[in-house]
Amino acid sequence: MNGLRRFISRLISGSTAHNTLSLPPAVPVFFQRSPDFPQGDARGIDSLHFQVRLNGTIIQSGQTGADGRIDVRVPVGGSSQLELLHNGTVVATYTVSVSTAPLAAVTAIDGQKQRLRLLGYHIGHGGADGDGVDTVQNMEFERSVLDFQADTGAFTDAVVSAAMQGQLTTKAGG
Amino acid sequence: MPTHTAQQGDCLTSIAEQYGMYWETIWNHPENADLKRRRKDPNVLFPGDLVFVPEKRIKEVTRSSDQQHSFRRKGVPAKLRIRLMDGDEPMAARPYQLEIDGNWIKGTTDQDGYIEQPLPPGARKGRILVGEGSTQDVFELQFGTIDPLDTTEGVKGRLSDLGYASDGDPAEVLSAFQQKYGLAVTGQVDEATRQKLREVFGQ
Repeated sequence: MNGLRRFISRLISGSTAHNTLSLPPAVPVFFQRSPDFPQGDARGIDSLHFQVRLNGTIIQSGQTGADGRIDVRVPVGGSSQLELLHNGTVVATYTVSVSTAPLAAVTAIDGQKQRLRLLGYHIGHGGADGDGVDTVQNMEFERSVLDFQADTGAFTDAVVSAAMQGQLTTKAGG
Repeated sequence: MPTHTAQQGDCLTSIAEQYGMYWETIWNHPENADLKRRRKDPNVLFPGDLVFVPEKRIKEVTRSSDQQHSFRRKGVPAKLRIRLMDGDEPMAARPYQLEIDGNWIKGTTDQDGYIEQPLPPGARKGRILVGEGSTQDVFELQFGTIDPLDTTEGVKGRLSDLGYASDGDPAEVLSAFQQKYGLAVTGQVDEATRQKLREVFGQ
């Protein structure tokens, strides 16, 4: 495994200075099976081999546990590349970055889509960025709402009620 | 009496070893008064800095010729002192392996996450492995490469060591640092930001 290059001083004997090296913040990413599977760890995809690159250098590697979680190290203001491996070959690459922009209001369709997407629900590829987030009430959105309702044991009517808005906020953030 | 032009990776201890002198002899020489005033910290030079290297003084000792004598060259001490952090938490009491120029040392960070080890003045690269098994964190070290804090490179290097993106938008990265430490969020390097960087980074 390689690591991120760090700038270090040679200190003269007796110096009270030090150099602080911080790991980039960890961003939890979950790989889970499609909705309708059981809840919790049973949905996680375990034994997924992965590696994380920063500026082209591998800074993490390992495999997922039962919950499918990977704590991806992402520098503040930057991004990391999360690579999934099969037999040592990269089969999927994700760019992981942190946005400090607030989510849209959960009462609005785009805010609901943002949160559903963050939770792993498929909402299509609409919107300016192709990430599915827009203000259109389309079939993918209805399907994702139905999936969410089924997963949470709610009545499946594809209507985003005030209760569901609260759940979305609790699970995906305000 | 040569003048040494500092390269990336040079510092007073590495230059002193190169020329067979104590770092204090070079640092305190009147010809280096301007360098000392500008840099303040003998551990940190900037590539291109001109360092005056005085002539060696010959030391004479009298010994009898019918015996064997040992003379010891006094070393040029240097060290590394690193604090490992995971977010705001020190990586305390964590087993580590430190590689310096191919030599491995094993140890454990102290309760505040510090590692302190002697460092050969000419050492250029190293590596710290923290933890065990597949969960190891790896820090690749480049010795003598921290630039002065009053340079753009010095600010970027310290931010990078603190977990901020080295290839991100500089204003965005600086703003994130300023916000975290309760400074005025300007996205620009000002004296308060430098002071906080010095405090958080430790140098």
